[in-house]
Formats: sequence, structure tokens, C-alpha cells
Amino acid sequence: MPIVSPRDDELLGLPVEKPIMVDSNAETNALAILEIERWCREHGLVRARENWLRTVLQGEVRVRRGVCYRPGPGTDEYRELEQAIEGRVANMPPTTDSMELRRGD
Amino acid sequence: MAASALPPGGSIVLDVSVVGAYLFNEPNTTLARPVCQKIVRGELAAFVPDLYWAELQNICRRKRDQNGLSLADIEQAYQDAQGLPVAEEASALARYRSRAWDLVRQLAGVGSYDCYYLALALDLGIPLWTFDRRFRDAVRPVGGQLAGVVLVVGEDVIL
Repeated sequence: MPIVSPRDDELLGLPVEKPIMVDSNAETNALAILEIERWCREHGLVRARENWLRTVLQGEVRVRRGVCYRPGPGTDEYRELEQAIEGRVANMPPTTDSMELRRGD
Repeated sequence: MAASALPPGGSIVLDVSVVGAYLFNEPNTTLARPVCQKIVRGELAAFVPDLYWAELQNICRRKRDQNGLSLADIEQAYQDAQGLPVAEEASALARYRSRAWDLVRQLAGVGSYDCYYLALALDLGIPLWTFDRRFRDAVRPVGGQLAGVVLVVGEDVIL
């Protein structure tokens, strides 16, 4: 089991949006994020939007640490980014398919 | 293959062309939008190999050189890309070099860059979402571990 902390009993009564550290001993950053994402879904939490997890020593073991929290009703912090991207694209002239641009190299 | 809903666990490897179609006005923008909205909202976890960034930078360059977008346009798109919650496997080039080479030799007509995305998907045990039908069609007949790994957004995956 790659998730090495926290224990399930530490989640009891966890307030909404209070961060909790979740450690994984998975071999790579992507594997650790994948495991933490799955663990969060099983426990009703969400993972903070970190693309690169910090590594820390837990005892003598190096683990990757994700920040997770129980989402509240108003947790939509990325609406601003979504609106910015879609507004910008709506005012952009048509451009070549990125797939075609990749193939052209 | 029937169109699928979100995969178990809601995690995918994402082809850079899907992100490109979200960041720029492209023929597949309306298909890319629901996928990327789910990523932005944290409903879908997306993974990419480290070469994703080099590819994305190159797409930005070609949008300027070929499509006449301004430097400010591509700069803003690149900044937006950095805000997307896309998790990078930073050691993919080293970690998957042998596996990618095996795939390059095995799969006719599939680019070497695509094989790194595929190697990452196989390692994580999650599907790879792309717009590239040729990529999917080259992988599908091989079967075995590769069966059903590469899915085309808008055909195999409809959100």
C-alpha cells in the first residue's frame, strides 16, 4: 500500500477545507499523485493542485507529500482560470490543429 | 469500441494536442473543452511525461510562425498552460527510454514522442486520451497490454 500516512482515524471530524498531509512512498512523482488521488476519492477528499510533490524524510524513508482537504460548497478556485482561457480563445482567430503541428515536426 | 465514461479513479494521461486545442482556437476546441474543464475543476487527474512541456512550447512557437499569433498571445496561452493542474512525470525521458524504444519498434506509424506518453500510461495503468485516430488505430490491433489504452476524445470518450 503506497499511502503511508495519514491513518484513517486521523480523518475523523476533519473540518472542511482544513489541509491534511498525505504521504506516499511510490517510486515516482506521477505514481505518488495517482495513488494520492485515488486515496482521496476513497476518503471523500480532494488533492490540492500541485503538479510536483515535495519529498520529505519520514523517519528513514523518503516519501512524497500531497496536500489534501475535504471540499466545501464554495470550493471553485479554478473558475477564474477557466473563464480566462475560454474568454481568450473566443476572441482568437482560428488556428491550425495542434495535432497537425506536432506531426509536422 | 463503445464510448466510455470517466475511467475508474478518474485519471488519464493527456496528449498535448488536447491541451493545445483548449488553449487555442482550433477545430477540436469544443471537444477539448469538457475534458480540460474537468481537469481544471479537479474532477479528472491528468498526467504527462516531461517532454510535454517541450512539445507545448513548440506548438506555441508554430502558432506564432504559422498562424500569425502575436508573442503576447502565445505568452498568455503558455502562462495559462502552467496554471493547469497537469501532473508531470519529470523523469519520463530517462525512465521510459527503453520502453518507448520497444514501442517505437512495435508500432508502425506512431511517433517516438507518442511512445513516451504511451509508456507512461502503461506504467500508471490508466488510459491515454488523444485526438489522434492514427495513433489509436496503430495501437489497437496489437492487443494484449496495449488493448484499449489509447482512446480518442470525441469517439471513444464522449463527455
